[in-house]
Amino acid sequence: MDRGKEWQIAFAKQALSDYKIYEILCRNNAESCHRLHYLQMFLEKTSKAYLWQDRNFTGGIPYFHTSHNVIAKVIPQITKDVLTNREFLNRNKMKEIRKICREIDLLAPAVDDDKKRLDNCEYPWANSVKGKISIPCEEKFEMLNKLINNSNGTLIIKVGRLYLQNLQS
Amino acid sequence: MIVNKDKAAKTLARSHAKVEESIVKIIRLYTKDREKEKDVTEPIKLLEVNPDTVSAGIMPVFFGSSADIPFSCVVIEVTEDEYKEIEKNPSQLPEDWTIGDILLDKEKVA
Repeated sequence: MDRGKEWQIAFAKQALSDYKIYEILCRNNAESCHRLHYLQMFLEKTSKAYLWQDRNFTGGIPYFHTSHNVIAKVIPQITKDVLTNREFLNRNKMKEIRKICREIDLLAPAVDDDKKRLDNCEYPWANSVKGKISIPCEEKFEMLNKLINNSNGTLIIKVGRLYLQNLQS
Repeated sequence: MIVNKDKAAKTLARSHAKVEESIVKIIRLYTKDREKEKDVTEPIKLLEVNPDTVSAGIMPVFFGSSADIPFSCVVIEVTEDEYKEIEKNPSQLPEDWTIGDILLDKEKVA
C-alpha cells in the first residue's frame, strides 16, 4: 500500500476508535468536557484522514499532522463530498455546520483565537468573565452542546462516520 | 431541567423539529424490555425521518446529557425510504430497540 494511503487509513482507524469512546462516554453520562474532547478528536482525525486523500508521501510529515485547527476547514468539505443530494446544503446550512465545527476546533487548548477563547475541554483556564479559574469538568459547555445536539450536529457526526466507513470498505 | 424522561423526549423532538424544518416524522424507540427503558441511564432514542439526510442506513448518533435534558440520547436519522424499510422490518434496529410512540408527524398535522 502507498505510504500516503497507509497514513490515511491509520487516521481513519484512530478516528473511529475515538468515536467509539465518545459513544461510551455519552451512554454513561460522563462530564461534558470528556464527551466533547473525544468528539473533537474524532472529527480532527477524520479531517486528517481526508487531508491525506490523494496525497503522495514525499518523506516528510505534513503540517496538518500536529495541527488542531482543521475541523472547520475540512468537515464542511467532507460534508459536500459525502452527500450526493446537495440540494439542501444551502448557504445557511453550511454556515451552521462551519459554526459548529469552529466551536469544536476551539475546544483544543492550542486553538484560542489569539487568547480570546481560552475555554477548552482539557485544562483549567483563567476565566476573565467569571473572574475565576474554570475547570473543564465543572463546565457545562451549554452553548456548544445545544449547537451539537440537533440535526446539524447529527449530520456532522454521521458524515464523518460515513466517510471513514467508505474509506475502509 | 426536565427530569421526566417522557417529557424530555417530547421536548427534544420538538426542539429538533424546530431547528430542522425538513424533519417529517419523529418516532421514539424503546428497549424491548420496557422496564429497562425506565432506567435513567438508558438513553432517549429518537428515529427521525428527514428527506434531506444522507442515506446511510441505520447509524445511531449519540449525544450526552445537557443542562436542560439530563438524559443521554441517540438520534437515528433516516430518509423516507429507509424508514419504510424499518417499518417493514423493525428487527433491523440495533440492540433490542423497538418502534414506539410517534412524537411528531407533519403529515397528520397537515
